[in-house]
Amino acid sequence: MPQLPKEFKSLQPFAPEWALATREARYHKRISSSMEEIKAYYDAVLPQLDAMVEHLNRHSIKNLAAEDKNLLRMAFSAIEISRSVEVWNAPDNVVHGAYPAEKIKVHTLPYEQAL
Amino acid sequence: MNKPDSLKYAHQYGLGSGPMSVEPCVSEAYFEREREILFKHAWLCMGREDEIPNVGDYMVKDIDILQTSVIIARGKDNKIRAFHNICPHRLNKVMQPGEGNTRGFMCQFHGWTFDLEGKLAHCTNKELFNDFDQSKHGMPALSADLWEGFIFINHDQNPRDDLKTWVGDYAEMYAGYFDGMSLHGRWSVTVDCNWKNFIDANTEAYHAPTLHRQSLRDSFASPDNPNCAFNAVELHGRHRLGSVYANPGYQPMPIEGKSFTYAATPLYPATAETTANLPPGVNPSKNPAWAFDVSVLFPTMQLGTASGWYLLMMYWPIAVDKTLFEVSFYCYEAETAGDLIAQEYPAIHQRDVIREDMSTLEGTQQMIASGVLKEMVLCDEEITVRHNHKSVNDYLNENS
Ligand code: FES
Ligand SMILES: [Fe+2]
Repeated sequence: MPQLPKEFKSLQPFAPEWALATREARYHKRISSSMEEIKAYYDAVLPQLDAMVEHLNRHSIKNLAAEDKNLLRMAFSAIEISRSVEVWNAPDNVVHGAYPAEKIKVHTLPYEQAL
Repeated sequence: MNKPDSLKYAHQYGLGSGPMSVEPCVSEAYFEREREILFKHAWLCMGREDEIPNVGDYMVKDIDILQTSVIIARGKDNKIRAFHNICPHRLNKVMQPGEGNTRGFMCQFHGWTFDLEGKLAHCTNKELFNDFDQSKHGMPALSADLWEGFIFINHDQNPRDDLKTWVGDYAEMYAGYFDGMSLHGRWSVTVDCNWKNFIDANTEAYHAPTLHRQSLRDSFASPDNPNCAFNAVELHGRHRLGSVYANPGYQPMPIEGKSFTYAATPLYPATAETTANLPPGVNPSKNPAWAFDVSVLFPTMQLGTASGWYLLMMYWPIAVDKTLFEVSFYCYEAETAGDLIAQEYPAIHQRDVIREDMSTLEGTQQMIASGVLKEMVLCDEEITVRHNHKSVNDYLNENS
């Protein structure tokens, strides 16, 4: 189970679901989640986001500890789901029928493996 | 607010204001002319030079519109070359699509091996062949050249224009802009629509207040600019750009607004300071009320240039009604985790907004194909659409 730094205990229950290593995985997680799951994570992460960035900025991104990497991935997931809550009120933009999410291939790039 | 001038660009550029035929979006014969006359002689962008930075780095790509598969490799002399992915023995395909690093390319059929310049380096049991000149059996070359760090290939070994001539005014317009930014995201999709309609949907802003009314809310329109009129339009030969307005009074949403503040060096959204030093082709009006530019280097390379990041969008025609679309996001090397988190926002947001732009494509293609109506009607702001279709048509006529 992905561990977060102990200061972020309140987010730990969300880590197995949202501390995902690639943008591809986070995208698929968002589009396959219910709005309830997304909203629960959003409400938990939003008040922590500033502190997460502050914590992470104390370390070099070149060699983050495993738990800090997980925390960074949690922040990326917060970005991924933000518009579900803030704009669409749905996991994906359904109102205007955005091109079907599952037809898009999100590539995983070498820079992500390096993070 | 003054009444908008419905002939502003018509007068500025003299491309007229009448309806345009949609036949070129559904005609198989026209598509074959595009293939033979345009694409097989066009300079086509294949990505960034720094995606294959080291000697022996290569990429392999099947290119439907060229009816071939291409290997692009960096040689021992550091030069980038392109060759058809074909073994001159029994014409097997040598490599599978992808990328990697190698000392040479071996055909899996009988073991012929080619060096990084495409020359035949090893022929299995050469003495079995009668009168065999090894130097005559390399992988056939395509033309390859670089502009601003982008790799271009041309199917034509003796291109009608060299790359510099092809790029024309664009050569100087982007000087240095792309330096220091690297690949930070990529997605792709195949859509059942003509490639020209695809470019059209991504290069006019008249649709923004309607199609994006929920997603972009008031970020792309304001009482000052309710139609999301371009800040500027520039036509340079067959290339074109529109500079897209952003509402400076827009109040971002919670995570969106926070993400901007996490960048160690805030670059996005644009400010007067960040736009002032951009080269002439990026935000050409230098208006700080600016989102990004939609710029097309003829025929199919789109640059979405913004402050601190850009998109490279490539359209690969497969059939008259089928197009592969590849979008890559580039940004500055992150120094802090905050930078990475700030960069994540435009990378994801742009993807999901472009998915909205794509939502109309298959319906449009279907209804053009119905043949019920033969023409589209364009407003002055859709000059980029007009110029797209006209440029293709002119090129075909001038070269056939
Ligand atoms: S076809 Fe390639 S070695 Fe025979
Ligand atoms: Fe759009």
